[in-house]
Amino acid sequence: MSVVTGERIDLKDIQGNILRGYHAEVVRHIVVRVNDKGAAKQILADSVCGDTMNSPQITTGEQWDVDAKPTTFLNVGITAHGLRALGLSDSSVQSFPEEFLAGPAARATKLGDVDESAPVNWQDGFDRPDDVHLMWSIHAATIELLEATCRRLEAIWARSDAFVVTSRRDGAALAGDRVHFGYRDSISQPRFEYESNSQPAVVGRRDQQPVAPLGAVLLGYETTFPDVLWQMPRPRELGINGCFNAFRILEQDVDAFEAFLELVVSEHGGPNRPFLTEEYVAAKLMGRWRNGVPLALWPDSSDASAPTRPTFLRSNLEDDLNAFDYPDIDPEWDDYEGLHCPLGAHIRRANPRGAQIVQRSANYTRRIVRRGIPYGPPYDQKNKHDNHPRGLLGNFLCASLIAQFESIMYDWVNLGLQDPRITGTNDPILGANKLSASRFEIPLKGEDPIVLSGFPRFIRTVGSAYLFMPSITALRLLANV
Amino acid sequence: MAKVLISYWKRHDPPVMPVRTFSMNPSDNIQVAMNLVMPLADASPVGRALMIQTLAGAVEEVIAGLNNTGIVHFARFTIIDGNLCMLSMYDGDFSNYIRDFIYNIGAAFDALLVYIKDHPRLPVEDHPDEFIDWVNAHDALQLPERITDLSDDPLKLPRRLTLILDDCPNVQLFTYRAYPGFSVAQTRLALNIGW
Repeated sequence: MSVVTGERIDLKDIQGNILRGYHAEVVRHIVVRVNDKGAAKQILADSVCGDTMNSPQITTGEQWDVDAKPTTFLNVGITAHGLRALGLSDSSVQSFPEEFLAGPAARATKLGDVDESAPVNWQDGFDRPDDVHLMWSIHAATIELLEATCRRLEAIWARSDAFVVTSRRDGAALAGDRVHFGYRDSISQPRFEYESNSQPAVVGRRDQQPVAPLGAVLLGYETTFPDVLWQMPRPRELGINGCFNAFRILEQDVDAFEAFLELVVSEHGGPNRPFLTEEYVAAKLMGRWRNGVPLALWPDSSDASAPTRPTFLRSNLEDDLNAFDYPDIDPEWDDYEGLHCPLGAHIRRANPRGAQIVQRSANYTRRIVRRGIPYGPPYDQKNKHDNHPRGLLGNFLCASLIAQFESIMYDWVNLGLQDPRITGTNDPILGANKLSASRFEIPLKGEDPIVLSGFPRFIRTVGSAYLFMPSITALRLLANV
Repeated sequence: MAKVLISYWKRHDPPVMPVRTFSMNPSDNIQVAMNLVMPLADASPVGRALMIQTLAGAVEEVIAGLNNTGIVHFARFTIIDGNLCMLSMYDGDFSNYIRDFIYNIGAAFDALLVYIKDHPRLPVEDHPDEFIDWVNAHDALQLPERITDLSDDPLKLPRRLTLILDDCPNVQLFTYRAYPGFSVAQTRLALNIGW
């Protein structure tokens, strides 16, 4: 067991799914508008009263025993409009950070939510941000359990007319933790070490990145910028142990993505480049093979049992999937040129790890926790163009939306400011690409890079909200304002 | 007469200040101007001399810190009419620039801000958001590079502009760039001087 950093936390006071993921099979996000302020506050009070007979309870971060994992999980996030609708005082609302108060629709250009992704085209009522007040998220082990919990919740709400439901959006995990593009997801998350009830705990895979401070995702702790403190909502108890969530519904155009992979192979492949397969191109765009194996360690094969860096300390495959960095003291493995993992690949852009970047102090300051579940039916290679919407229901969790989430989206994903060799290009998978301006380079050893261009945007934003995930203490406080 | 007219306009048509804008065109987000105008608490020769001596003691730290942000093309420190001005060109997001700046040279800036009238709470590391807001408020207002963006109605444009200038004496007009669209790091890489 590694040495615990000594940060102390009361896990019972934070909402679940922040430090530790649920790995649930299904989810339903129910967006509501507050209809009756008093009734809504009563619902919040009941959801943290400790009596499950009265109401389903908010799931906390409390650790469960291996054989006693809950089968349903309930959480709630509140927008700035929601805080106002619940009756929080103006001075308290105004003490929240500016970007949270503005909401993602107002920050659309900064986030790359333009053209088809523009807020005016958002679905599920997210195009009317004033009406998005709370989002209840119910995770469950089975669809039956999900339905039962949701029925019970909505019946409780209906009794007091507390809320008007503006949308319900379901998601379901795909086999093998995959997303619709075929990649295995959620491998890289910040690793936290903390102490709760005198019990040390470690979450996250062993990797070569520094342990993330709790302040990467929670308010009231040392932040990702040592010695710099974020603005705290007032009163302080409202903020402490809270977390911000950039919730995004990201529609994925798998047809266009698969067609692009085929096109690249037909245009750039051939007998001289037998290695250039669709799987190779998919891996180069992501930085990982579709089965999750990182290019930084296995540049030539997705087979993780194949030999890799000789001095690499093998532990177990699951940890190995994240135990890499781009610089290396062994010149053979140092990847400054991006020969293994391209400089513009999604995972390298969104988290440069220890690589040389322009903003020298920023390498680990923008780390966020990603919790997501796909929606829509699995993509069937034999039944393409089925016109079913599919994508990801993504929760991007952090303590400062502007310093972490927005900075990744703006400076790194859509501007490529971190490395002069990719500045002016967008992330090939997540970026706001345009046919006329998209560009991605696959560096090759000893020959000119393969330059891909003319590809469209593969991921479109169809809804988003900035949510505050209050602590249990803060939920009680909100219920009594 | 002009003052009467302006206050009359203001009552009927309050000014709408342009906010920092972002663009999906990468070159619009590279080489952005910042003109930080900080009024000196004591603009007398003695007061200015004290401030200059403090800044002189922190020059190395300021330069090393700006170097570490990696996105500043240049930063000029100049006293103009009783104001300490920091005039710089930077790449990317304004708030990221100031946040990295705080992280890198917050302590040096704390020593300097003591000489500034109505400075934000110190140390700036403890109140980064407040400092970012303060810098934003003291940065010369960036007018749209196309002034017609202020109003679709050509008849209203002069009034809009007048009202903005009445509220904001310091404004940034357009910028000439000899090598537009190139970031600090791209320039340094091309010149082979490390990035």
